Parts: sequence; structure tokens; C-alpha cells
Amino acid sequence: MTVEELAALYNEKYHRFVRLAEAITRDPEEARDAVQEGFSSALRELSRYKAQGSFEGWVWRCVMNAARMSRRRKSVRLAFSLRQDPAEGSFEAAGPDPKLLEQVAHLPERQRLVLFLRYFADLPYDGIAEALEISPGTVAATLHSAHRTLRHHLEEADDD
Amino acid sequence: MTSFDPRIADALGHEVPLRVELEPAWDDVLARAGSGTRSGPSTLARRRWPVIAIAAAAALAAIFVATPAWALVRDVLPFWGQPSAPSSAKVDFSQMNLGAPAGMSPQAVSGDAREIEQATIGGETKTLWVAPATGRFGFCWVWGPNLVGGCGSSTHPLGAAWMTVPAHDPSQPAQTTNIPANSGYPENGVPAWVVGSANSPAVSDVVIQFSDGSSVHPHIIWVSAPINAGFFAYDVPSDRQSSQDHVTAVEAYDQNRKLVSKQTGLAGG
Repeated sequence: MTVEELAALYNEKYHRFVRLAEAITRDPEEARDAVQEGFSSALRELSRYKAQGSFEGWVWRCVMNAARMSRRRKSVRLAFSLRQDPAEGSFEAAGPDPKLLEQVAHLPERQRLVLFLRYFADLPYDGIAEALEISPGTVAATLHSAHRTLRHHLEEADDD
Repeated sequence: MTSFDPRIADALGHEVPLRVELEPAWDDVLARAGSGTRSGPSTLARRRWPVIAIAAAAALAAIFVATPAWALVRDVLPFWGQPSAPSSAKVDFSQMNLGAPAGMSPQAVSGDAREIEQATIGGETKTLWVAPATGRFGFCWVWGPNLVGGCGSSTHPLGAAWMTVPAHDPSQPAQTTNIPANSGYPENGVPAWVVGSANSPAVSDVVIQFSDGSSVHPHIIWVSAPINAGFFAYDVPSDRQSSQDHVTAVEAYDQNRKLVSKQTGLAGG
């Protein structure tokens, strides 16, 4: 893998990396910083990268580790709070079911991250596995569990 | 893969919105890697003021420079204020990503798709859904259900899609067949409808040209950031789908009436 390939991945998926980092840090500025740190870390470690798994998954892992470090430094609590962006709140039409939002926020972190990687990172199972340092089978099981939990809620809501 | 559930995508997207206003900064990555030092909170705090200052300066510049062309002259629909697109549309955007060849995914953010407008196309009411994209395109759009979709970027000021039908004899009643866009009547067909997007703030007007030299100006719905584009749809009257009288081109002009982009070859034969 080359610096150019890493730069291409950074430019192509920058916003997705920030989004995932924010899912961990809960702070957009911290998320942005974590992406910069994650990529600089990947850049420093590039020569040591062994092409055994998904390169992109490895980079995602670097960014997630940076985001987790940032969260620890800031001691940000993972308590759920409903996001209300003042810049957009006045425009926002009816959003998703608040109970579903709460369910998502209360999922175990691994399930939340698998969902974000599945929905917003365009990573295949082996890439998600590399990013989270788990097996592809565990990815499938975790994703299934998260979907089952949320869909159970959605079906209950549909029945109401 | 476990199936994509648009309601869950919506919830995830609502919890952590896509921040398209942020700009990548690869030079900063290189600098951090080179220095080999961690940038802790204090570094972040130091950087925050310049970022705000630059953003404020950019906003002021936008007021004095860009506003006359983009905001004051146009009615711009606030993207985030529009209703969330239905699940079926979000699945369409998701499939755009999954169906693309390797490395070509438009990266449409299906969870953030919004409903923009409705129009009569091919005699049926169709809805325009638009989603931001984070790949080499700035956004993707779908007219549906089951009509046509595409993506646009500011590097291509005009994007257009159309469906052709066989040219009819003007002395005979017009055909009313509804042929899918990809069914292929390109050889001798003429457009039955044209949809598209003006992908750059430089575009002020879109003109649809006819073979007899006349033209029409379709109404453009302008959509705010993160889309920053305008969308149009034109249902060609059935009496203008003949070999003698049909749509030939779509053109985009700037506010000085200068041609900035042209799409030709709409009618075959």
C-alpha cells in the first residue's frame, strides 16, 4: 500500500470517516480531529502494514482507535441525548421515531459500530471484521443481533 | 448481507448527521505524521479559532459575492427542511451504491435522502428524491417510482436524462405508450420527456431546444446545500414528438446568457 492510496481513500471517504468518528466521540470537532489523527497514525504505520486483511478495514480501525482515544481523553460519557442541531432544527420535519433513536443509542457499542460501518462505510464483512478486529462470522452475528433488536421495536411500533 | 433497512438508516443518520461542510485536509495529516506528535485537545482548541475565522470570512464573502447569483435571484429550497424520502427511494439510492462497479460507487447517502417535488412525466405523477453523495459526485437523484436516476457534480454544469419513443406521424393521433427509459428506441426515436439537473451555481437558465428552432425554459427547483443544484423535468407534448418537430438539445446558460453546457443527440436517426 502506498501513501497515494491512503490519500485517495482519505479524500474519497473523508465525510464517512468523520461520521463514524462522531458516532464514537459524540462531538464533531473531536471527530474531525480523530480522523486526522487516525490517518496520520496509519501513515506512520504504513510501512508496517501487512497485507493480510482488508487495507481499508485496517484504516477504519486506525480512525476508530483515534476516536476512542479522544473519547477517553475527554471522558465523554456515552449517555444518550437527543441531537438537536440549532442550525438545522428549525427546518427539520418529523424525524425518525424517537424510541428507535433511543434504541440505537443504547445498543452495545460493537453493535452500533457494525451498523454504522454497514450503512455508511460501504465495507464488506471482511472489511468490517478488520476494522473491529473480530471475525467475519462475528460481524454477521452482531449485525443480525442489532437488526433483530431494532426491528423488534419497529414491529412493536407498527402494531401500536 | 443483512438487508438494508431504511428506517434504521434514518435513525443512524439522524443520530450522527453527515457533515458535508467539513473539508478534508490531507496536508494536516501529513504534517501530523511528520511531526510524530499527538495533537491533544489543546492543539484542537488552538485550531478552532482560525477555522471559525475562516468560516466567518467565507460566509461574508458569500454574502457579497455569491448571493446575487445563488440566493437572492432564486428561490432556494432548504434541503434539510424537506420531508424524508420514503423507504423505497432510500433503497434505490442504496442500490445505486451497491450496483456500481468497484471503485465507481457514487456513495449516495441514502439515509439522508429528501423528497423535493412532484411533476407529471410521461403522463404520470412522479416524485423527485435527492440524496447527498460523498464520492466524486455531490448528489444523486431519483425520479420515481421506477423512472430514472443519476448523480451530478459541479464539474459538469448540466446533467440530463430522457426517454425516446418512436417518432409519430403528425397526421395521426399521438401514441400513448409508456416505454421504460432503458428499453432502447435510440435509433429513430424522439424524446418524450427530459429530466435533469443544473449542477453549478453558474447556471442561471436551462433551455430545451426543438428542431424547428423554438425553445422552452423548464422551471428549475433550486435546492440548498449540501446539494447546491437545480432540478427540472419537462414532459414533451405529444404533438411535438414527430420527426418534423421534436426536442434536439438541452442547454445551460449563465446569468449573462452565455452558454455553459449543452447536451445534444437526444433524438436519434
